[in-house]
Amino acid sequence: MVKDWFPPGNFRRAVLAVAALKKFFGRPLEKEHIKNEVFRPAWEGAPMSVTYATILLLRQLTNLVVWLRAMTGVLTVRSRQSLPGVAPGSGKSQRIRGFRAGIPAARGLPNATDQKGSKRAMDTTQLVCLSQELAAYQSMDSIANNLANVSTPGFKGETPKFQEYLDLEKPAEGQTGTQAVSFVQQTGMIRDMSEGHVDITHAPFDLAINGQGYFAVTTPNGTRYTRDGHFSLDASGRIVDEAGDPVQAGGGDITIQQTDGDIHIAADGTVSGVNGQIGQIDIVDFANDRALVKEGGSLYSTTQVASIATNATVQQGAIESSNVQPVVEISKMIETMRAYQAVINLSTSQANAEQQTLDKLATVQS
Amino acid sequence: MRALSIAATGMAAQQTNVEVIANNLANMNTTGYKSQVAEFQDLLYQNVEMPGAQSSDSNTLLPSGIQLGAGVRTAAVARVTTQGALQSTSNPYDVAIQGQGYFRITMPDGTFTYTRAGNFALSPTGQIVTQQGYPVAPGITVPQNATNVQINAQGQVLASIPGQTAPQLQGQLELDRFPNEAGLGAQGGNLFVETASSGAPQAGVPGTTGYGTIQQGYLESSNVDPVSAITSLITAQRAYEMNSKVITAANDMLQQTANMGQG
Repeated sequence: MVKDWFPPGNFRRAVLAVAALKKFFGRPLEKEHIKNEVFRPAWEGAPMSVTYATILLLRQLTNLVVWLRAMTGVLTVRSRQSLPGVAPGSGKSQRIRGFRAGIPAARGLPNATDQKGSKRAMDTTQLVCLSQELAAYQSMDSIANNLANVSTPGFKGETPKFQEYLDLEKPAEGQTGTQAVSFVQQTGMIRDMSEGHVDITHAPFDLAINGQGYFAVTTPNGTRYTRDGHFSLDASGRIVDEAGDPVQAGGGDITIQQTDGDIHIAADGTVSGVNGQIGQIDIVDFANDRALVKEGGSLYSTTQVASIATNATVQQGAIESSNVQPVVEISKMIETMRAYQAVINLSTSQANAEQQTLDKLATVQS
Repeated sequence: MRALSIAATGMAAQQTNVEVIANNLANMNTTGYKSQVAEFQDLLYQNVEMPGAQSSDSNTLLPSGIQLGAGVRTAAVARVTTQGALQSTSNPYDVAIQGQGYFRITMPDGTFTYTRAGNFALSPTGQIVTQQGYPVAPGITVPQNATNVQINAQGQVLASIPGQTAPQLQGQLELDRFPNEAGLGAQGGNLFVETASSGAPQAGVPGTTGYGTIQQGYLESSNVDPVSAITSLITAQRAYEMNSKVITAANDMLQQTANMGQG
């Protein structure tokens, strides 16, 4: 059986068949040569006609193609699998599909028939590794973004949240209970809502919010919210943010006149000059401020309804700095690197093991 | 790998920061110089999963989505327009503004620029001019035979002339205010120009509401605080270093990835 299938045995037959045909066509063509024996191979011990040699050669070639395809299948497993955690799906459920089939080569191997309940390939280890590698990349990206924004006023650091994803399988032969392989998947970004430390700038329109609250600014795309209180006046005297979007006060803008003199902004956002009160800057809050969507430019957008913040005060002449703690980020970075290194080592040794398995199988069966 | 480009934006931002601080320190002794500060903002986010997206058929919502940041950008280099300390010089044509306002200077092409550096001098014709020789608007000429020139808090230029008991009024210095003085365009040479962002200048007499007073014999020194400039420099340098560490780490990870198949 093995000889019939496996190329080394087949190869010898193919060589014999080729030799027979060569000998046949090398001689002057005679009528009986077509039907009768032209070559008596020592290995077969039987005469071989031209017809038989041709058929034999074709069969061996077919076998060789099947074997080659099987071997190629082993090598291309990784490119054909579906990656855990990267299939976005409909957003409702993110299925992770591991690679379920056996080694493609097994289809060709006589003794490697599909065993019941043991459909998991040895590539599962590689897939678990891959899910961790992707997670490390995502961690690294978020650490890089936090560190890049270490000087961005009002910036809130974020950390990716990872969850175990269990891939449940039927029990293997001779075992009971379901078996589970756990992958890792990213399920969200956790925003650190703690307050950054307050930098004193003495600029009259630099405002820091102490407590939970946001400034509202009117952008061309609608109302956006920010904790970056680096404001200034525009050409018409309105209080605006860095992008020139007016800061909301009681639903409208707030305009400072030349005659208002030095501006004082009280803890509740009341803006007053020498001529008395000019307006009150809105400090708003949300039922769930973690769900605010970051838009870049230190702005947040939301569909939630803003309410007046109850426990927030404004400090004039100060800016809330980024709440990213560099020490924490650097240690997270080292941790991520080490975790990545560990999983790469695991993946490499698994690849070595697979390689050895294939080598051993090939040796035994030839 | 996104971490590389994100850290690169961080390094670029901190480089800008260091450059701004370097310029502040270089102008530590520049009369009327206003220190600058680089302002940063986070870049756009890639929304992988929006916060508040539906997570099942029964209307449960994702409490926090997945938004991947792309780094940082320099939003503005803002000017800190606080008052600099007044330094005594005892030079009669050195004038400092205590409070709001800018001197208006007539440029050779007839346009106006604005400055807080009041280290003026006299031209050969006796006109009050800047160190570059541009006349201070409105043009004030001091008589050649004046023995003593006095500039009072309201900006009146008074000259004592031999033979006359009372000092004679020669002219009135004016100050200009802007709705947004941080929006003035710096020209170099301590001069600023009006921009769309600064708004139109509004001239006024020193000492009236909203305008500063004039101090003769003083100069407004730079408002750069060397201590805070140096601490900002250290912070910026550390932040730069940390971003470069991220690049190193990301590079190591990519290196390991590249070597994976060769184990």
